[in-house]
Amino acid sequence: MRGIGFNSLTMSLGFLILIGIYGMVADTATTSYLHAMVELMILAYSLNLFTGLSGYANFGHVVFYGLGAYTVSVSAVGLSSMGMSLPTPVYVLGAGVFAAIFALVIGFPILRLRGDYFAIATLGINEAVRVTICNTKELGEGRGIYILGLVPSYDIKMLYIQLLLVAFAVVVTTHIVLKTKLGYGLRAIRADEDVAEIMGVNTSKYKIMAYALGAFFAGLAGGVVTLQFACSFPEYLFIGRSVDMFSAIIIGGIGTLLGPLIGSVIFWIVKDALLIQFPYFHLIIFGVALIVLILFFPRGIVGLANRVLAKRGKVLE
Amino acid sequence: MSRMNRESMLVVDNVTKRFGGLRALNKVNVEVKRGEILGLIGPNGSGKTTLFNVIMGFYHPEEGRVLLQGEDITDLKPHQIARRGVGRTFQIVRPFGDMTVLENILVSGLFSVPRGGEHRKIEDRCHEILKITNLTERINDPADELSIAEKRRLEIARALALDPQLLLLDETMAGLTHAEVDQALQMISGIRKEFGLTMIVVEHVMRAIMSISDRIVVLSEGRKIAEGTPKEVSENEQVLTAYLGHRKGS
Repeated sequence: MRGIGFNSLTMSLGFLILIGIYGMVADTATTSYLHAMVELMILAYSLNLFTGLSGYANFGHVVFYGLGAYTVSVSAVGLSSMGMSLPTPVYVLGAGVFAAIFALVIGFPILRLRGDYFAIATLGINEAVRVTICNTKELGEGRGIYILGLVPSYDIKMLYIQLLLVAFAVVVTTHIVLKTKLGYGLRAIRADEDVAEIMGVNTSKYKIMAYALGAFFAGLAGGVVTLQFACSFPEYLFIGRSVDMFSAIIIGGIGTLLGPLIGSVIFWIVKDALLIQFPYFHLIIFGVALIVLILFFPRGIVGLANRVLAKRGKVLE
Repeated sequence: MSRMNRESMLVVDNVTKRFGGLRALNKVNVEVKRGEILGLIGPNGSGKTTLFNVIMGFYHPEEGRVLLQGEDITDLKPHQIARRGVGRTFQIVRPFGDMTVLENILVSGLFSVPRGGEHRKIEDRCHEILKITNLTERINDPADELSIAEKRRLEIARALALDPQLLLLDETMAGLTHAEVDQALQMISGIRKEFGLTMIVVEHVMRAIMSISDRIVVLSEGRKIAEGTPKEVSENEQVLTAYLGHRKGS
């Protein structure tokens, strides 16, 4: 796409730096608020890498987040029983790697499915993992695993910086993917998978690469959050989180570079405000707003902006 | 002239493809020589598109093999066959709708090169193909916004960007006006000259198929019923029967 792609990247990274600085100087309550927003942003980007580009609806994306969380807590407990501890970034990286490996293993069978069948399979896997955790004694069953004191001490600002680094990485990765063969291949798959094959795209390979890449970043987010709360519990695999991510990328603009960022900021602020104003009805209001948005602006805010910008020969990505 | 080299580009060897009890292709043999344009005709449901799908690796036949320049490609996947130099267009146009014209062509350009060539070079080649297919003016428009004739040309452009040796054209001219058919014919012979391509052309527009084909193969109910020059085929009794039904009293 000819346009101002570089500017879209600069805007995204600039925004992350701004909220980074703000989070460092603000009080801890504000930092945690921003922390949670950036976490959603990373999840939205990670979902966008796969679903946004390939068009495969993944309602179980949160499973990778949950697996990342449990990777950190289980390895922290395991290592401390041997009297060991690692620097926090190692735990986080391990969470991403484990989630990606899980995606590779599970991806081979389920990425043979298309459309609704794939979407249902992702839901099934998410529930299967959650129920397995809930019924495994070693994984803390429904109570979760607490790691307070087992990992380097808790500091929200340090974790916030780590989370922002992950956000940086996922934005840059998205930018690179959009510009390279992987991005073109995935967009071709989204448009018409059979034709993509005929144009030489190894569709199975590209789908699984994107699936694992998305899982990696979701796993990283889960890892950081486990360090923040010093615990992991089955609620991390709550299906509602997948819906949050979906809403964010739909609001912002699916398959774009700026979309997940704009979408998750708006989603987070509006959802929070509605929750305070209308504690009982906020989900209903939100649901209606989302339906209206999908009906009238299927390409989200970035798509809407591009309709205006197109007249000036510019394009947001 | 190198065109005089008459080795085979593609051999469809005794291929049978069944769907349940239906034999969509029944022991079909087709050979395409390097550099020739082979016309493929037959009534609806005679197996033309099935044959394309078998060649492209979408269907794997129960019997027989497909050889591309002597290599057995019967069990390969479509993207592997595409990268070996087989391009195809679809009867019902299937552009990547939300991508621009250039992006549509870039996809096949990028993926045709096994090692991933230079982006710049590929883009230059794509611009050239757009010129030949007369799409340069629409280069940055979403493919969805093209007219039907333009979409058909985009299909051909996309297949050309693969840098194919063999091009399968599936009813590129259906639904076009008389003048548009003439343009399409000109373009196809231009492409043939420019790229020295071998082609298999499925077409219902008889005027078109008779004028561009070197040889014609006729399918009916999954069998090959005739083969020869356009003139021979158009005078063949069996072909007339297949198209027009039995004569009264015979």
